[in-house]
Amino acid sequence: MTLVVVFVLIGVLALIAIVAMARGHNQGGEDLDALARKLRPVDVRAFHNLMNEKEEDFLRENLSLREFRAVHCQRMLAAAEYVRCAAQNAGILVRLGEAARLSPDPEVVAAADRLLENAVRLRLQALQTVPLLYLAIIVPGLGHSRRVFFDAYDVMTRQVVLLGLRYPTHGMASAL
Amino acid sequence: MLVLRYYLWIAPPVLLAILLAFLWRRGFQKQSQSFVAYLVVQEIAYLAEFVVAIHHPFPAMTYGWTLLFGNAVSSIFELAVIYVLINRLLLTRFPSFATFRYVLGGLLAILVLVSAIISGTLSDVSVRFPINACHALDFAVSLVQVGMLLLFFMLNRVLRISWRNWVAGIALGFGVSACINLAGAVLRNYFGNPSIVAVDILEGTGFHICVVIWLVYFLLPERSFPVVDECLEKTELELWNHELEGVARQ
Repeated sequence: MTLVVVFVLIGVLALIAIVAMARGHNQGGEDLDALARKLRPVDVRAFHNLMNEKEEDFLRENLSLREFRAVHCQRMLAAAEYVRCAAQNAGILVRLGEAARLSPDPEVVAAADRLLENAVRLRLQALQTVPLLYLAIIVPGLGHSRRVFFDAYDVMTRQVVLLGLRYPTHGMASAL
Repeated sequence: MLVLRYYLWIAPPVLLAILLAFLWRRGFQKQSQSFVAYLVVQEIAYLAEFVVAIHHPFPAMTYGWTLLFGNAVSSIFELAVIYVLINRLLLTRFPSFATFRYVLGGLLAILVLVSAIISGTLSDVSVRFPINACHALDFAVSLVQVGMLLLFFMLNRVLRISWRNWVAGIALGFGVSACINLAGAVLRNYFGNPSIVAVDILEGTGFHICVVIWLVYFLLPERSFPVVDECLEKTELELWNHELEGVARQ
């Protein structure tokens, strides 16, 4: 009986999940102007500052353990929010890359391919980085390795600017 | 109830034939050979089952083997269609991401293992009971399909990749049908003969919904991709100049 309940439950939950995700796909067809308005500016320096080991050591030395824990928690939550913003921006740039790939100009297509690949890579990295940052609230120092995340974001931003040389990006480059 | 059973037996192949004719007229076989091949195989399987079923007296053993063979072949094609969708949207589009291949390969291996173990415990499979083998196969294929489709939908949602309407339609149709078949297969196995009619209706309804979803998605006009005018805005050029000045200063 347990097996029956488990698989019926799996079937029902999978059905709900698949229908919900397919509905989400149908609602995603916005134009680039609307998507550009959804971009959120990300302060890369502020993120690097949050991930700085020396900054963390300084706080540890000058605050009581309780205060340090509270401040560290806030810092990691802020860092996670930055990563989420960057991932959302990358999602919008995936759409820009897909639109640019339809261009007849082969150089635009090549630039769009590079942007698309990096944006997808960044979203995959965000999937790993956000949980790690939450874990870093309990284990300080765990998130330091994720500083490279925003190096990739920087590269992606430059790729948008380069794409903007030949293809209208609807102000996305300046909004990042 | 009998009318409903007959309706669910006859309506899906008729609707599939309409869909097949529509796709053939539009030359869709060039875009997705695997899906069109699946539809053709499914129609042949239905036709064979129908021909055997109208014989008098009803040849139960022949019907069982026809059902098993038809299910086995169409299951292979169903899995092939899903693999082609995943391959087209993820694997060939992003060839440098080896992660996708590992995740897909690993998930497939786990699903095949789990479905093989559990379907082995489900029914008394022997040469005398080909229908039981058919139910075990239904369960195994449904489990693999549900897993692959969940991964497919999740990856697309996470990566924000856009797809054409018909891809979403095919995946959604298979997803609905596979989820209902998965639940139906275990229910039939547990409750035995008294549940066969109810489960047949449940699974028939699932496949009917699947076919209707395909029809709706294929008949709907394709959602157009955001079109942009090919002239650059002044702000973009200014931004580029600013970036260039920054590089020159470095």
